[in-house]
Amino acid sequence: MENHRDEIESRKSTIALLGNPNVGKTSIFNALTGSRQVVANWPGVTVEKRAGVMKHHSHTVDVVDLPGTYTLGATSLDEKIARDFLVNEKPGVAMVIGDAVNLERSLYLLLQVLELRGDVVLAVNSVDEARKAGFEIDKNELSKQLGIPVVLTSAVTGEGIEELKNTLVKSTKSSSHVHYLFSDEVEAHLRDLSERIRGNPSLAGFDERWLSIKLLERDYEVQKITGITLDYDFSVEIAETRYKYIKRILSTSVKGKEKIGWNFSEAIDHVMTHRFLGILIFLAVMYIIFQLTFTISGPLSIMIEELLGGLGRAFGGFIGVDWLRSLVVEGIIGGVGAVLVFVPNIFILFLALGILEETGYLPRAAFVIDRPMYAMKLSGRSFISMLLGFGCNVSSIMSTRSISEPKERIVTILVSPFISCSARLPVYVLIAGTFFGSRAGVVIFFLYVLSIVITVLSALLINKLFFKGEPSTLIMELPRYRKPRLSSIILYTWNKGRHFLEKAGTIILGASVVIWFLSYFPSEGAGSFAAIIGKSLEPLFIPLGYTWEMITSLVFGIAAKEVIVSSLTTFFGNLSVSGSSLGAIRTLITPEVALSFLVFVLLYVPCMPTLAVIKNETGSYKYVLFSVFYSLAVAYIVALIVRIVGGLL
Amino acid sequence: MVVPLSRMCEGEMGKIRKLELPPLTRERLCGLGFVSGEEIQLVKVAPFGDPKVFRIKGTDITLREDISMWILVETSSVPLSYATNGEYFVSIINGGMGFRERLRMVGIEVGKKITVTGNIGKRIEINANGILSALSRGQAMRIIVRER
Ligand SMILES: Nc1nc2c(ncn2[C@@H]2O[C@H](COP(=O)(O)OP(=O)(O)OP(=O)(O)O)[C@@H](O)[C@H]2O)c(=O)[nH]1
Ligand SMILES: [Mg+2]
Repeated sequence: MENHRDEIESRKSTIALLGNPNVGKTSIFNALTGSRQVVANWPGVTVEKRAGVMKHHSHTVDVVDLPGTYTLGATSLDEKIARDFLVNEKPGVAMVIGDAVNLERSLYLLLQVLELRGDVVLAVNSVDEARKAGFEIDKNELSKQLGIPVVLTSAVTGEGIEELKNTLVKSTKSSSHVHYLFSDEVEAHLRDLSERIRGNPSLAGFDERWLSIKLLERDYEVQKITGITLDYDFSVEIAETRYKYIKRILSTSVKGKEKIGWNFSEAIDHVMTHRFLGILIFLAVMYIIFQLTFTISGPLSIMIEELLGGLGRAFGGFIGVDWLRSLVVEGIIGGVGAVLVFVPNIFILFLALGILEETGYLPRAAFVIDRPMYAMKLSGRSFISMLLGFGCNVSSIMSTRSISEPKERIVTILVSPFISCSARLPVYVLIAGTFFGSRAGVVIFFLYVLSIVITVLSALLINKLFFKGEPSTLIMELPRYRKPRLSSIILYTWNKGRHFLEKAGTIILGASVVIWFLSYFPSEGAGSFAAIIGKSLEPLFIPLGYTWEMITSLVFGIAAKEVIVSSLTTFFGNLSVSGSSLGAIRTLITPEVALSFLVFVLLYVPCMPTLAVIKNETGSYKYVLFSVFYSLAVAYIVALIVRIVGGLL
Repeated sequence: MVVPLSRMCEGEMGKIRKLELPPLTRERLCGLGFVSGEEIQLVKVAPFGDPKVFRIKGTDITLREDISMWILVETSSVPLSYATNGEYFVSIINGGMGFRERLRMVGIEVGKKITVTGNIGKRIEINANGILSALSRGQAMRIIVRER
């Protein structure tokens, strides 16, 4: 009974994880709750709040992971999420995670949190790296100076995690609230403002001093909730006071060696961001990823294909009923299997992206490529989002939340569906393999290049259309290089790749059954429902020369691009990555039509989940409609050009 | 000498004086450590000349010219090509091994004292511990010196 009440009580208090971007909040969150959220070595990985449960002895506490933020005066959407959670939801404990190697800046955010509220715990993370760099942090001294519990942690070695848990469950009770003093002039203003705020009952839930400080900093949100706008601005002075205070604290609590010579990060950076080599290295990296995705996975794909073929024959052997055999063998095993064959490609692609993200190279690539992006009124930051689109457009669009310029963000969202995501890859491999044999690699490479070209041109156009070409900014931190740890990479690959398997088991399975049904009834082939759908749209596609099977598969492909592969397989019998079969389709269309079809698949309507996330992130159907019609138009035109030009060659 | 951050040379250090930027940008930069009195160094220039990486409070931050030109810094170092006659300390040499080696041969090394004896036209004349040499303006641009 006693225990029970205790649990319910402690559940009420939520622990919020705050900190600068990339300090290891999600890593700590995973360590505390046993979750497996994606971590990566660049600022802005987490863009939404994620809840988990921490169990410690008899305690059960909710823990919320938040996006990273440098200050509480949020400028981008992900920062607003963190700030709003802290300010409005009032979590029981605010755990600020700091970076042991860069404590000074971490404490700047901590001070802002301490201005707002009590019940703050500081976790100084990455102590393993700090020790290597020669810093010694005196946590007792730090704790004494700040007046809050301080724990030194490392999410990598596990150091301090137990202690952190103990501290967290204890600190749900204490209520220290630290104040430090600004200059006399600022303090006088703060007193006046606090007085004014106290008179307003609707602000009773907030700390007056905090609101006053924010007013002196001319914080927009606080001006809105208090209805007070001052015509003077003390933000610079306040920031300087905070840093002075931090310097004083650190002078007694951190001992560090003077840095001598080049460290590891600088040496690598010299090459990676080199004036001439930088771009070459970037292109080489992209090319290697492209190659890996196709070469290593080849044999694995063939193995899976053979396995599924065997499975199909086995089932075919003992199912007596004709239609049922057709459903299982051609519909389900054929349809889903056609997609499953690409599991190796997709996992290897994510593995490569994972390594790219974990090393810390991504922001460097963004830095190197920023200038060309600027020509499109985008930035290196939006480039990171687009690059993630090669994995999946949905996560790419989500990641735009940390782009602080709203217009740049919208443009990035609207163009990222043109980045060729991993779901389109099965279609390329299958069709290119069938029609172009040994030159399939070149064709696929062309598609990727085309994907980038169309993305760039669309960004230019959309900017001209909607935003009259306003420039964006680039304020981005370059993280330390880190050796990718196997466990993180596996976690990353599994987290992202799993999504593909889930799709295979749900949307693709469902679609395969539906397509099989439509192609089998009322009569197989040209009399089926599938043929009716395709043929009704056929007149529109006469210039492109697509058959009704291809058109129907495009229609279903809007659910998920992989479905194109399963439906083609159902319509044309077994297709194969090794290029051995798919006879039927070869007699129906010419290679240039096949190429034009691939171009169409690359560019046409984003898949449903992508459209849903566009709606969600832009908050408007206007952009969804734009995306649908614009991409259809682009796909049609470019596919037509490809067919015509291809026909001349 | 007070110059915009964007005018610093690779490797050069300075102290921030003032941020002449709109409040939101300034706030964000404050959170990254851009406050007056703070030491800042230009670490790297991107392949096309912009953006640039600055080191502040031990971290590397990229900024474009549109922001860095509005951040004023006080710097006591200048590229050698701008140095008038007088004594200086060499603080940075931007260049590869070959360039460094050639400079070492004429007594120009990081940390060493040199004297500019003439800076007219296309050549800068240097006396480094008794060794006399003349550098082209382009070469001198890559050597950052600090005033005594
Ligand atoms: N050496 C070391 N690396 C760490 C530690 N904690 C996290 N990392 C690494 O730091 C990087 C960032 O970790 P995340 O947990 O994604 O950081 P985050 O604060 O959630 O980042 P955002 O969501 O982008 O704000 C990853 O590469 C981690 O592997 C640590 O204690 N020691
Ligand atoms: Mg995170």
